[in-house]
Amino acid sequence: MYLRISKSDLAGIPPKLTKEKVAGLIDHTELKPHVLTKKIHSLCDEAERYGFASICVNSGRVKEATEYIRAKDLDVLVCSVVGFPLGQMKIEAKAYETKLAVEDGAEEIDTVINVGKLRELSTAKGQEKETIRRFLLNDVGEVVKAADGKIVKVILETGFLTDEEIAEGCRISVEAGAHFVKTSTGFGPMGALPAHLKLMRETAGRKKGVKASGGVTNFLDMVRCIYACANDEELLNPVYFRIGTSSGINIVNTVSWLKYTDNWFIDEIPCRYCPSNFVSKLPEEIKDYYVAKCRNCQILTPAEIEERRKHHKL
Amino acid sequence: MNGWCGKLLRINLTEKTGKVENLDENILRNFIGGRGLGAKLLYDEVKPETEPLSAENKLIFTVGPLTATGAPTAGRYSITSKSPLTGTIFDSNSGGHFGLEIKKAGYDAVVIEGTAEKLTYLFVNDENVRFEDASELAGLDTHTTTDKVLAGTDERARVACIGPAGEKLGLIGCIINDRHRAAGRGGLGAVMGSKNLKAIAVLGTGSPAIAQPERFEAAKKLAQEAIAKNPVTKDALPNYGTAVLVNVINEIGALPTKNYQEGIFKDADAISGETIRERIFVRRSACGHCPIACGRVTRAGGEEGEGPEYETVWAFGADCGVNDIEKIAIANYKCNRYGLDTISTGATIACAMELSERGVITEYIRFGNADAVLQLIDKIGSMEGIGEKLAMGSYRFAKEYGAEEYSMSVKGLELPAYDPRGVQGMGLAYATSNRGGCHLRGYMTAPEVLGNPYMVDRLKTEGKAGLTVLLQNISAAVDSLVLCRFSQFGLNPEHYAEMLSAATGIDYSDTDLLLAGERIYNLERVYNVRARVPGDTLPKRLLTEKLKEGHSKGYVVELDTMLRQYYEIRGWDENGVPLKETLKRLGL
Repeated sequence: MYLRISKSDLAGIPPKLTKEKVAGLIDHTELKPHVLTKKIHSLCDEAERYGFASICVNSGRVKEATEYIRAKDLDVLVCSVVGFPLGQMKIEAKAYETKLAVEDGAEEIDTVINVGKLRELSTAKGQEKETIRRFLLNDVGEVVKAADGKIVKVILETGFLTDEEIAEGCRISVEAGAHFVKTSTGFGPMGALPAHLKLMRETAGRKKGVKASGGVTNFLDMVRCIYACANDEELLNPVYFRIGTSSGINIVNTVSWLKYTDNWFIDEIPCRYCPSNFVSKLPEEIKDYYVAKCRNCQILTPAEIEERRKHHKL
Repeated sequence: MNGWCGKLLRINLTEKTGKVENLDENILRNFIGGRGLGAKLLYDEVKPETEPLSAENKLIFTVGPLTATGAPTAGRYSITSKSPLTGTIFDSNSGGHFGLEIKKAGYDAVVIEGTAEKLTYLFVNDENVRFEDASELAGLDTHTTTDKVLAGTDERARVACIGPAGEKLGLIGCIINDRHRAAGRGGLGAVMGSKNLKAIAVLGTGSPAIAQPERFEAAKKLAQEAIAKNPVTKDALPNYGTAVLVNVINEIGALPTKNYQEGIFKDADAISGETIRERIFVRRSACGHCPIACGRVTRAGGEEGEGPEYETVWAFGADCGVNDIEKIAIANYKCNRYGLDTISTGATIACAMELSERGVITEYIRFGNADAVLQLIDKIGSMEGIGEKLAMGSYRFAKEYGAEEYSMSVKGLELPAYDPRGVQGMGLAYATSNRGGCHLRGYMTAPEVLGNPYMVDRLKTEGKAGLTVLLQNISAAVDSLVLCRFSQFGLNPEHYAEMLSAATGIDYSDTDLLLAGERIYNLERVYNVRARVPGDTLPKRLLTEKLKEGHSKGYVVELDTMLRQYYEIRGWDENGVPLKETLKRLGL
């Protein structure tokens, strides 16, 4: 999947959005291991003040968040991550973690798929392939079941996957009954990139949500994500599109800068937001995949190839 | 009046008088305060052809409608004058706590005019002004001067003063307040020296009225939260100070090295913010009402002082080829004591080093020699030997030897620490700055390198004219409020407009604020045009010599393209002169 975004593609999006609408698309996130309770409380207060879609926390923090929300009578939804951040837990453990999070008051669940199994699926053949696929359907399906009707988003950790594996992850998630597919944990090697988001939307379809997470720190980053997977009135809605970020306030605070001039938008070399430009932390075999894609790039102009040669780090 | 005091204190040193005048509310509405108010007063009261070091020039201290209100970073003040270094209208802006006292004393501006018969210091205590003989302070450094002035006035007062450099009319002399904070650029210390004014102590007992206290508290809280959530102001600046930029700018190949001959300093890490923290850091420090606290108290050479900041680290470090952070800190302390602008001092020494290596001057001064840097600072501060020439800044120094192309300056003001060949928009901002080679008029490094508010391609020229205009306009407005430039990392024009509206009770939208910034920028430009300030360009090196290595290799500044677009967006003619319809639109 290659993607080129022109300046006119981007410039048309901000006028469709108010600060309030932007905030309503954001899952206000705090998943660091060293987080303190007071931070969870301030996350709730901020979500109320700015009107974020939800707060997103680790499952062990759900109860204290919901208790705080109830005590202060806030209108804030709590989303819990599950199997986070590696996704390598037993299916039963993920299901049980989901059950506890829902009991504690979580309204949404972001579960990490078993990324390694998803990778194995792409090379497996015959019966083995079928077994792994069933395993993955279960991996997601048991969480969906334990969520008991709550929204479930499946984190694919796209930075570890090829395009084909991302697409297959989306298909499995949809088939298992999840409501959203989501790019990254924020702890992996790559964040949310437009090319991956576009692929996820095309595969998951218009009836499911796509959540961009990892590396989205300002409104212009968000606009690129919107262009890739939610660029029409129907999709630009928290039911079909979310941003997962700990920079929600910064995103809202940078919304207005785009209205003073359209000079923020230029026709950038597409390498700037291409997954192949973010390979430094990837495992070797994935890195090779993206480097090969880069070498066979179909969309660069000769001038851009020259520019890329001149500046290997863009 | 709310937010503003509505008062100006006019002090005439020749006549030894101080009188309070009412300020026109329309002027305050249109020019806000700080830099804008200073520009308006200078424009109205000091003819463009005025000799900067004459009694006819004025020194205008200003604060803003948010000063001392508790708005984040609102502890600063501004000084406006006609610069002896650049010949331009010039405002220099400083932190610390001095500005708070001006506002608490009940003034939006203190205008100093005339020349004292003998060296004098002033004590402004609310409506009272005392003229004191400063003969015994002659030749004293800024720290000692501050101590003696406080002893002679009130220990609770705050002091701004000059050191030996300003007294001796060195054109890179600055004004130091609160011992360690500098209104550094443009030689305003020399203007103060020319007026025989050694120091001003201010003590105020009042507090500004707020029009809508609840609305203001809410606006302030949102602004504080935005600053607390921005990655630059919540982590980078508090943890490492401004010198956190050393490694960042070096990494992109735009850390000017050896008088801008190179863009990479191989020993950058040895002078970085990280190394400062490991080697000489004592504690953080903050200006009045600042939640960021980027200041560093450090210890070097047996002395404790503040700084060095990024530009100072660069000026005495990479630009002079010096990799010894302790000696750079000592150079900083020395400049503070002499009352010297660290950027211009370091850059002028770097220029001398290049001229020496090229055989243009006979003095043996080599890049990398930290001790030579310290010795030259002593000579500049006391105007001895070659120091007398160096104290006039790099442009005049190099020109004396017919080598002005080696002065890395714009309109006579030494360029700071970002090589515009690797940060193209910064080049346009330098060239079009109304006060000369300055990074703060339009800090294009924020979007081009730091991604604030958004990342743009630093090596491309497309879009840079519009962004430079936007940042110059908002910066003029923020300088007029008077808030710290670093607040802009977290705040947007809506934050500023809301605080201003709540404080004054006058509704400003974000676009009103930007328009005020544009008005101020154009007024400054008109003054410069009338003062026959040279056109907008950059040193030849930056336009013709490609950087030789690193991530900016092969680039020069593509100024012409950007400049044409810039003038068009500004509504200026091809010589950078505002068109009549532009001035009319802005109410000028």
